[in-house]
Amino acid sequence: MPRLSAVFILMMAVLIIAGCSSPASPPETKGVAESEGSGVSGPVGQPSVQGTEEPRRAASSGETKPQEAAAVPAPSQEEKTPAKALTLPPDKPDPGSSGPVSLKFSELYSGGGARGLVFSDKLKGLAGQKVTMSGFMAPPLKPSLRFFVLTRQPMSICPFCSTDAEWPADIVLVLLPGGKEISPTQQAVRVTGVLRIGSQTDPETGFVSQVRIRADKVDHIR
Amino acid sequence: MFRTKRLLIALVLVFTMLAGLLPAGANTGGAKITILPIDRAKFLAGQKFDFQAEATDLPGAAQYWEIEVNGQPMASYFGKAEETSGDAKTVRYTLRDVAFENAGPVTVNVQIIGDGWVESRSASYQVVKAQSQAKPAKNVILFVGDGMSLPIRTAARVLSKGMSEGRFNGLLEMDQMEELGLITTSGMDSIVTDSANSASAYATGHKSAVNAMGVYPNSTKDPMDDPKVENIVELAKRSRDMATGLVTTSDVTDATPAAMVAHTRRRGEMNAIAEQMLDPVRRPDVILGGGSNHFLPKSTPGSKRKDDRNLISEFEQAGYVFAGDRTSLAQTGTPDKLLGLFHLSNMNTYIDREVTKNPAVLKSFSDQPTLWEMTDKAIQILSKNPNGFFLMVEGASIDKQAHPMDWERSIYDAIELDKAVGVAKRFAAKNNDTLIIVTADHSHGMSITGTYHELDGKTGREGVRVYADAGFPTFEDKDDDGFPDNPAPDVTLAVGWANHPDYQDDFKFNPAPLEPAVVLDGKAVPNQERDPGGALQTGNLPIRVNNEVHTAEDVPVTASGPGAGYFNGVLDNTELFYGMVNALGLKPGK
Repeated sequence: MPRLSAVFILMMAVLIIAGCSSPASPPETKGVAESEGSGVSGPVGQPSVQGTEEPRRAASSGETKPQEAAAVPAPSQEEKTPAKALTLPPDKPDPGSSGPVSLKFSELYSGGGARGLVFSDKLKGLAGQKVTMSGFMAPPLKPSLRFFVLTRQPMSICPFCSTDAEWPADIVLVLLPGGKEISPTQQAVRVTGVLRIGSQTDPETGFVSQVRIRADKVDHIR
Repeated sequence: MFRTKRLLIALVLVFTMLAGLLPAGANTGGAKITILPIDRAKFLAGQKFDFQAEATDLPGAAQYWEIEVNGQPMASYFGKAEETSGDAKTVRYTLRDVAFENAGPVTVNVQIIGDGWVESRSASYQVVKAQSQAKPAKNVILFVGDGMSLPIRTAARVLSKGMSEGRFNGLLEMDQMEELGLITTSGMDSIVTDSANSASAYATGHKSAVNAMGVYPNSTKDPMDDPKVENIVELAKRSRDMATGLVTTSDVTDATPAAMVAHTRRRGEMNAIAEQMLDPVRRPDVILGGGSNHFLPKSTPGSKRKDDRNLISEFEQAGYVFAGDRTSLAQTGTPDKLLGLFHLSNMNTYIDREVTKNPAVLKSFSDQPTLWEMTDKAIQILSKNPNGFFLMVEGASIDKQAHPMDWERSIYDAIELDKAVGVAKRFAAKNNDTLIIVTADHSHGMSITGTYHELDGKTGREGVRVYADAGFPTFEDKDDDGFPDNPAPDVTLAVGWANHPDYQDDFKFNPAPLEPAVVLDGKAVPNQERDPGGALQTGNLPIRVNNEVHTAEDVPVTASGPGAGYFNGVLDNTELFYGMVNALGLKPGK
């Protein structure tokens, strides 16, 4: 029994001493992380830093790969003409024909400059109509493809490894039919669907597009 | 006896428990305190910065901070009110817009205190004043050949000047300077830097992290809230009302020019960087380059803005003349303020602009100025300011073409930069009051292996000639413009790359720029459109990496003019800033 009471007394003593003799024990009323601008006192441990600062990881590690070249557009010398059987499209869609009109990347803009590009007459004339365009699927913004970016040349932009991904100006956003998805491919593809033009921001990704095709069909062409 | 023994044990126990409860020496080891600016940071006296301490993984709820500067509470030392913030995981103490006014060592002790515990850390800083110069520089022109490693400088000399029996027939402008040194390039987070991080070191004298500029990166997701450090453009404007200018062949909002003026954790925030450039505290008088897409409202085809602001109009309202092509640049004369944007995105390479002039590559941008024309225009305008000027000139596509391993485009752009250096040297020769610095911001894994030709029918790797078989390339510059007339002579250089994805290489000039590899399903695979039939080069980088990447070697620096003596020996990249402010004798006041 004396042992138990001794332990009890000691425990009490510890609590009492701890409760009133801790000079750095902060007052209960202090708010979390509130700064103490005055006092400098307090029995503190030794400075814990020697030499260099611990290397810090980036705030979002998935975005920090050093990579600058993604901004390089990949223009080609000539258009891909994958389907030799296609006849050259007329400048304006033939009202009597229900078939899609072929549209090339070089036909999207008729000029412009640093103050912005100018939609070509052909592009404006085809807005709301069915067109077909050939190009390459850019690497996906997301693994599942509700939409993809059609480019003139294969692109190496990798949105997962570069924060400064810069798309060339002449790209086309391809929206897939509801509920349908597509696997990425390096092959050239031919997209058929209704053409839409004008600035639009995708609410989900913030992707701003000027030229879109709401696709009925996406075919691999080689 | 037993009783005494028990008492002793109990006493030992008490003291042990007391020691555990008292805050003395109570760092638990699990907590992490980050002090920004980092330990061993160096400051120019009067240079403004934000201080931030972050604590994570604390043993309990934090109650207050105690932070001292040389033994004095930080808030009263700087006479500023701190902000504190945080959540369950991380707490943060911030003091914005402060400066060390006096030179000397500084110790910052940081304590974060909770119920029964204290966590602490300290950092040592060095504050210096600009050295007084017998003859100070009035102007500084900083040339950054982005990624312009030593092999790239050598290759530029080979192509531009040629060689006879092992002796160069001439030297580059950047070779013929008073001082030569080496600059180390690593950032605070990694041995290998990117251009934002390294240009930030040049512009501020402080190290940062990959993708960051003008800030020390904190742990928040917000790329705009990180503690800032004042940069050379802000200092030149604030302390001496100097003129400032940025000239580049990339987007003017791209990493290197942006880091001279802007503050963000993420270089990709180019919309915001363009907005920051409009702020009079850092707005350069001359901005020339590419990248109008971040200045145009999103309704304009070609825009990359996410809002409807038209920053070209806003610059015009602020008194800037706008030039959109080479012709209009030549016609501007020398207005006090000039914004020239000659491409929606990065300007084309010299080969595409001036040699091949391929309309399918240039598209709507067939009238772009050269880097030396832009440099000349910038110097004409900035030199009107009696207080002097700071100008940064970047050869951006030296890097942008090294990444896809298109060495001819990279080297022609290095020669283009060299011609811009010549323009600056001729200006400096008039008054000898301009410091000119020519350097790179990081290296690339490019190396000159020998030569390549197919004159004897050998092709592919068998066409690579080494040692005595290499002989010399047959580049010719008959029109004496400093560039080889033909980027694809009979005998060209054989160039190897230390790191690369899977790609195919025919060792020959590419008539149009093309990516070496494309990403398919998260894997980089050879771009079949480039060098079809070329030899497969099996990659040695992680499979998702689709380009050659920066390397960690030191880069050369050459310098001439007042204060050039600083650029000698091996220099940390932050020292380039001190070389500039010393030459200028820049003493920023309150």
